[in-house]
Amino acid sequence: MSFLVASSLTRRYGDEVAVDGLDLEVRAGEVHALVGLNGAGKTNLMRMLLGMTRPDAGKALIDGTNVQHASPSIWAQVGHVIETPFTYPELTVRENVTAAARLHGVPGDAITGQTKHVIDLFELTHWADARARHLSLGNRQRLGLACGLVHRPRFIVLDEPTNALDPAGVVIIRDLLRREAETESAAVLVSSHHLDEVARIAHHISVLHRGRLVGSIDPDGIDLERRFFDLVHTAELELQTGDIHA
Amino acid sequence: MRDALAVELLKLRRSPVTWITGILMVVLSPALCIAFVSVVEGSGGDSLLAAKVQALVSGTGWVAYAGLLNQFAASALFVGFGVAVIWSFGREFSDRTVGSLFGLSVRRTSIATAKILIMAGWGVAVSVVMVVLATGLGSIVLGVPDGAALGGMAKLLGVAVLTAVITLPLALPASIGRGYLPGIGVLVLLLISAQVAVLFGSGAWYPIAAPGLWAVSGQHEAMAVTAAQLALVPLTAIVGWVFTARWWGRFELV
Repeated sequence: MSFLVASSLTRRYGDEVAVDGLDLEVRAGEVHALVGLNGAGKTNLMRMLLGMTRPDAGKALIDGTNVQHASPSIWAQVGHVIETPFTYPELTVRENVTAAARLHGVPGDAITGQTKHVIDLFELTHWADARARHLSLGNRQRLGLACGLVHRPRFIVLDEPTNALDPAGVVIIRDLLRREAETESAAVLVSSHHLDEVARIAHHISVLHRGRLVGSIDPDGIDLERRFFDLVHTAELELQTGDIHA
Repeated sequence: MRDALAVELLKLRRSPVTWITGILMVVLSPALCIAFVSVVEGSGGDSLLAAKVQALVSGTGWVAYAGLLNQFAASALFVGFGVAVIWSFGREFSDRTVGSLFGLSVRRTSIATAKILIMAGWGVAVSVVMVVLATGLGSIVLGVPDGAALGGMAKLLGVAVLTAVITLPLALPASIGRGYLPGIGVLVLLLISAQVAVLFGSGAWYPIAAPGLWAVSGQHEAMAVTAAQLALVPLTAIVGWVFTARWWGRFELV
């Protein structure tokens, strides 16, 4: 079953088409990676999937429900980190995660346990009572991920989750996403610039260019970088010659 | 809604902005006013400062103190409460945390409402603490207050609470403007507009000016404010809350 669906999604900003009639499905139990150059439309696509922006055309569905009309019970199953994560500098690490757990609908009697669980999982125990403003950039990213995933969501949308993470943090997020997809049947959508990294976690890799899906890469294939640039250059050439509409 | 309230209360309790503005409002108004009144009483009204202060107050002792406090509070608290409301809403955009308020099991209208309720509750709490502190300070310096003095303090509480309430609609420009500065700009404009409304004699019907006019109404008969005019203050706050919550339920990230 497809849990996250983009159906002919289009979003324009003036003359600029950020996402151009894009179709995408992320099924339960799979990690789907989006790769593309800067400005390819990855973040814009994710924003529409999370109801942060409205499409000019098409629709975004979560578990079959249009996100523009999704109820709190649907959103309680969604975890995300897009751009700036849920980190309030005046709150401690523990307070940030507790606050996120409350807003994600974690039941009152489970908040303490799940807060401790994700703080341990992201190896933030040493800083649990430190204010977020005192954390390093990497630990702030870990905190943001902990806040976004504290409620064990079934649908996970992460925009460049390994940004600023050290190698240990990258391994944590990689193992977590694979585990959530494979043992908890979560539908996971991640974006990244790092082909090697997504090849290790993703079951499917889609390539975006200028707001369109221009192809896919086999995560188990060889020379992913070459395949990526072939797809991007071909798409760019077709765009310039206008053949893409043919 | 309970979860949104709990989270907003936590942010308020941990915020240096609300602590600093709160302490300044609680301490500054009573301390300055008691100092001014002491100058007038101590110098027998002969000093330059005493002459200036005397132009602002009528009476002596507690009457002068309560009158001065009411005048001072109306404008000083408008800025203090206004800054706190603008911070509460604008910080989500300035700190770029607003994106994480999407895709939650708590609706954004509930988050906006929680912010308004927490700021209103904080405004009442700051007002009560300020009046208690002002009364205590006055008792130490000016002696035990009589019935009229306590009446002046009760009015101060009313002025302070109404001032807190009328700043709540500043949530809307801080939200639409997506940051602190647009909210601060509107706050300044409102202060100026209140002065203009008073100058043109229609201040009592202008909810931004009404608490300030009520604060000085005991000393200037021409500035009397009716209960109906004061009732426009909470009404304006409710309208502001409705529009702010509605905006938060519909806005997009840019």
